[in-house]
Amino acid sequence: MDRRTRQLPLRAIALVMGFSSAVAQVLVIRELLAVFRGNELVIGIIFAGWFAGIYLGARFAPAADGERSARFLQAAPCVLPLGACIVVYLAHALPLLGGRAIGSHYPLILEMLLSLILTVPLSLPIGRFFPPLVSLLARERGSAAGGTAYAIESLGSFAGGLVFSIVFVDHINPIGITALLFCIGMMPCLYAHARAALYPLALLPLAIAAMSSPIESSLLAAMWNRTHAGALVEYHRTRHQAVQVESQDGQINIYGDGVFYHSLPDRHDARGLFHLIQSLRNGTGERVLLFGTGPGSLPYNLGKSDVARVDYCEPDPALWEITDAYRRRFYPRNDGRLHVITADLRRYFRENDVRYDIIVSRAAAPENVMLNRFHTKEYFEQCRAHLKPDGVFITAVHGFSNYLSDDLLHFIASIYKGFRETFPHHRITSGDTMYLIGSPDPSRLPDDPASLIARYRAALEKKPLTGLEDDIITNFVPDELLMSFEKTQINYFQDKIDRILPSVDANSDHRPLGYWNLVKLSAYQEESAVYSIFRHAPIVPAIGCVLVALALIDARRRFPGVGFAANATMFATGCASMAAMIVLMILYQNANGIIYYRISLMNALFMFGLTAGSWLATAHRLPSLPVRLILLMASLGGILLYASRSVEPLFWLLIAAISLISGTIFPSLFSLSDNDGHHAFAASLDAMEHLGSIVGAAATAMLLIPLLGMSSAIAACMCIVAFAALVLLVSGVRKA
Amino acid sequence: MLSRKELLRSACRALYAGACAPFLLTHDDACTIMAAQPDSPFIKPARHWKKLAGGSVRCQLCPNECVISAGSRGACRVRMNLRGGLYTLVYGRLAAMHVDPIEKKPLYHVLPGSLAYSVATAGCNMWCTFCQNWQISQAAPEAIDAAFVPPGQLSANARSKRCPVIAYTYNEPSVQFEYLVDSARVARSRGIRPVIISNGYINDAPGRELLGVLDAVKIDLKAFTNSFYAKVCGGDLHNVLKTLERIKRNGTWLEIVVLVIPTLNDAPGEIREMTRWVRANLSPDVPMHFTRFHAMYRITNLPPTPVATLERCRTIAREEGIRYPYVGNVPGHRWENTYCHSCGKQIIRRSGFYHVTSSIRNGACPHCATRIPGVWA
Repeated sequence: MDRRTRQLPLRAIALVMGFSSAVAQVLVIRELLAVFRGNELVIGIIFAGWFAGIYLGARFAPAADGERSARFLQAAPCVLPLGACIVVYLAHALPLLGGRAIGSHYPLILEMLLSLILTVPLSLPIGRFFPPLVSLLARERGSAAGGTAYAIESLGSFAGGLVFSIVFVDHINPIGITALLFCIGMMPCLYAHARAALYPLALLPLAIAAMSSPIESSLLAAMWNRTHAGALVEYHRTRHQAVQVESQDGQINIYGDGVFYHSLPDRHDARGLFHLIQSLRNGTGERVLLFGTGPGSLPYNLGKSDVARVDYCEPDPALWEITDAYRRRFYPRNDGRLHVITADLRRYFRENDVRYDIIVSRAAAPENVMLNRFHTKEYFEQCRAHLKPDGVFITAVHGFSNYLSDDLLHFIASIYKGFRETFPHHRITSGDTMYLIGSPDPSRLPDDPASLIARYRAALEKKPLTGLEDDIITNFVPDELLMSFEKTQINYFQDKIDRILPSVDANSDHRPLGYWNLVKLSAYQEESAVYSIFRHAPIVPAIGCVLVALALIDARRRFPGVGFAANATMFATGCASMAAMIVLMILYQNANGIIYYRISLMNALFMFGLTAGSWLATAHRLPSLPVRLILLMASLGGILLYASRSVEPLFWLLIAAISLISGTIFPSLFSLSDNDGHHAFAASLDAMEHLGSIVGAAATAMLLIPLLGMSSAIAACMCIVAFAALVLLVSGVRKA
Repeated sequence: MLSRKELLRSACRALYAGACAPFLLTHDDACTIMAAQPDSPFIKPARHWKKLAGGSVRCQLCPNECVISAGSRGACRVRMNLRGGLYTLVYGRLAAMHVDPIEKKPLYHVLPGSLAYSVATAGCNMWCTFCQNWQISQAAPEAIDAAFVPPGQLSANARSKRCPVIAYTYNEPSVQFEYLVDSARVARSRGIRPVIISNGYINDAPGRELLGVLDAVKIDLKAFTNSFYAKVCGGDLHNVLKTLERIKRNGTWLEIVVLVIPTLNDAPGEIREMTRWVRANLSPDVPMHFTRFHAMYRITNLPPTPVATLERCRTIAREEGIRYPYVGNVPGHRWENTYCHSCGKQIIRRSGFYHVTSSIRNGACPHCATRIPGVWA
């Protein structure tokens, strides 16, 4: 093989590997979330596991060896999709192997361990791939090889992210996706061996992709039916989540990412809330907004009563489409009073000025930051802004059964505080689900439940409820509402909450305490080892600091002086850029709702920025490294501006800027290596960048944001980058 | 300079130390010592135990029969070996005190429409993964807020809240055996009816002693298979059935609740076997409540029991001759009402827990004069 043909596949292989690794990463994260509950702890661990694999692969990559390296580079793009396919379906099959009873989640600690076990081996070859790639490319490109490899792989990742978010996300299942990746991965390998006759073989996986749908359906049904109460009827991957529908004794249960959402019919569940809403009405012809109440009985019966209009909000249009087909079996069409808003509620509020007489928010508990945004002070303020002057807002929070433990009390208190500050005039109900009822008009909420009941009784006598489902009105007398206003329970709650409220901070968009407290509560509930860690919070960062210190000492041992400064800078860049991405994503999510299907797009843009940055640094003369780090700090500062303004173009601009600057760092630092040490130096820089990413992902999602808030997380990142700039200056690396 | 080997070794050591530290730190010695303060009003000598060699004791209150070494506690977390003797740590240590309608217990055939002064301590001798009150039942007493309420004060509290019934509920009441017996005795002497809401996991001797001071008992029959009790609750069916027979023999009013959990205990064959056993060994007059499960404690991702499943359980119970089978936790359902077993007419109407209208006259059906089993006055 001549020099030209050997180099060409290297670039193609790098491009394919970048493409496959970006797709495999998003795919594995999505599927793991459908098996484990999707909170940020688990997401953080999945990301950390992914980067840890890359770190280990790069750090412990064997020394350069032309023949062996070339073989590995050709095999890696084929092995990765196979591994991804195995990991995805192994994750789905895990409940069959035990460790999880029907109706329960894995304990948090087990979820985190399994996430690590599943992701590390998959990302290991990605890390192991980069050093030999640079080493082989260096034969042609010398010290520019690092930048070239970095740019090509990032370009592949950019393409992968783009294709996943536009084509793969809701059209092709994981078997199909990985078969396609395998097919693409084989091409450069076959080309390298110059056996054109074998090309059609590479198309074989396409046949598997074409037939994958029925195979996957029966696989998923077999696994689901053995680990759930009902029989799986449908499994869809929408742009927002994986939706599962099961049938159980005449009842249809809808799940999203494996978490139970609603059942149909649900008239007995809706009865209490329906009459609570009716009792709070102020006449006829009102406009009501429902969110998270389930698509069944409540919207149907409210639509049948004499309100003017019922708006039901379901953020995932595909979920509504799936649910509606079943809903119509139980609830025939309303008379046009029911309107469905298939948009994120907070975005809908931001873009519409419509005002409601009653807003009912029954969002699921804040098990992740996405859900937390429906329990924050900012959300309550938005709801208040969309109420008429005498409107009523009802929101549900996790209540208590007879006793409030400290963890439960703190969780409820963080949400209640935000609510109380927004609605000083309010009432609460008792029970396992508590309703917080507020109104801008104090006269709307009677002091005593007895007067509310008397008012409702009088209204019913004047105009009885008719035309509703039988089970909503059979046997009903307004005294039934007393079940929601159990006096001793409410007094007990008020007494306890008043004592701790002054020392509790309100749950907010920028500091999701509700989410954090609920994770703590879940850990307490399952008597998990994670709870011990929560109780002794400094231990985790202490362990993290020790590990990072050891890695830095290791880097210093291998590359003293300027080499160490380069490694430390790479670490700081990886850490800050990953932390910035996480903060940006959460801020974007707070403003716009579910971002799942846009994550790969953001990832793609980030990768594009890296590509452009590394190309710029390889081909052009740029400002010195410390200056670029100062620019990176300025971009991080821009996030604070976005946090206060939520202007969408700024969001995309910030991702582009941060990734572009980050992309220029690696080639410049790599150019500091001597001619003999390309392989080892590339491995070390790649490893340190991913170690920084682990720290950035883990510390931001699990520590800085919940404990200190978004601004402090960004400030911490700015400090880290400033420190790196200082190290570069002290070590004498001004220009590279 | 560190070698690679040394580096790895120190990393492993750091990880190991980090992983172990939380567990070492959570051992709550301070709490244990505080709980065992001899002058604490909560600590009283326990009954029903036996001394063993070496300072250990065997608690004989429930079928767990824990062998407890000095300074340790039983599985219930509330009975402790202090200096070779067994002590209760929850005498009058009430963590929850609420006024509930008696329908909430549920006791449908005991003073319908009345209020029950409902109290609980920490601790339980099982660990059901679907427990509604896990925050107290699965906690050590010193880990939760509680107030000391002497036995006489409890009756006074109930009276001041206009409650004719004291219900020992939420957690398993038999773990507070000594307080329960003392306070129930005082309550009875003052005309207040003590009732318990229990899992029925108690040994014969203490069980008989307890029945001597109670007016009614509601037992949670969690399933009718040993495997369910072993895997989901940490108990055994056989001992619960013995308790049910004992209650019946004693003549204390008994109602049974079966929380129907999808997949775990809802098989029609199991329900048929259970109801057949109740009819044959207890009485067709024992009311059976088939109640709806909602996600709780460790079982947080299971849909609520389909109403059709509960209706099927109720139908099976009727077919097997149970006269008063109910569907529970389904507000507005027609089978939450009471119908005379003889003439089939509605005699008690319920709308949730709070609105109860009873037409029973002197314990009999107003339509056909058949005696309705229960505690009516």
